[in-house]
Amino acid sequence: MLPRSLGREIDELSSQAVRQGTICDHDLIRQRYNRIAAFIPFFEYAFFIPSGLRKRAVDQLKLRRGDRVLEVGCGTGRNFPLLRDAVGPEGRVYGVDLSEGMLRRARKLCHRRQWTNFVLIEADAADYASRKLFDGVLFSFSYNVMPHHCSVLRQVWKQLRPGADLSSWMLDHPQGSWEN
Amino acid sequence: MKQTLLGNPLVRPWQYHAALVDDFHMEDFRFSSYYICCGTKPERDLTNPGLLSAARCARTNRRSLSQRSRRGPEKLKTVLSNRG
Repeated sequence: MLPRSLGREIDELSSQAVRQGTICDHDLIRQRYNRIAAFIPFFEYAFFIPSGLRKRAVDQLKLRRGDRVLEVGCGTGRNFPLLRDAVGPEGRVYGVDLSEGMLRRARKLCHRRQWTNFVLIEADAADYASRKLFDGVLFSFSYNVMPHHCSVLRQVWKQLRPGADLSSWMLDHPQGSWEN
Repeated sequence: MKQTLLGNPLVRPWQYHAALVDDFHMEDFRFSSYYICCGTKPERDLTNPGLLSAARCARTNRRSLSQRSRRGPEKLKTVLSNRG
């Protein structure tokens, strides 16, 4: 269990990063997401995430059997069943996440379902480079969570095949107090 | 606190995505609490070094996009299609 002050420290650093436009300390981000990895399934209910939202976001990628798809910030693999259905066993699903705690759960899911066409990478998405281009890229509740989202988008864009789709879904924040 | 586990509310993905992709469109869910934005990478754009400068321009210049929450996604779609 991490001390409570650490959470405040992470929040403070995150806020600083936003204000200064700098990249947060990866270790702190990793720790934060490692800590909440066990609670991700509950977030689905706690935040009233619509049941069809994930499927709709994956459908928007217009994936076909045998395609290669990248999920940036794949977490514990909540979208993996949908991505697997879309590309089939002959396709490949790549998941990038900074948190080993999240990826551990994602690996367990793949192992449990006996999916062999998943490649899970523990890395900063801004640094990850694949040898081949992707047929689709999905940001699932991850784009505006990343303090260096511009670098990530730049890197992902390079790896997206022309004519392929980019899809992201997010929680919309109410306007007003944030702007001040 | 501007950066949360739910993301940074000051970062609006659609601003970046809309500047990059073809046929950008958005859908909202649950009374606009959630949204999906998506589009296709243009065939011509094999490597675009000005990628993020374009996105930044979009962020600063597209007032209509920054006003999305007041307009709603449907109106945003209209705005974007009119621009095209």
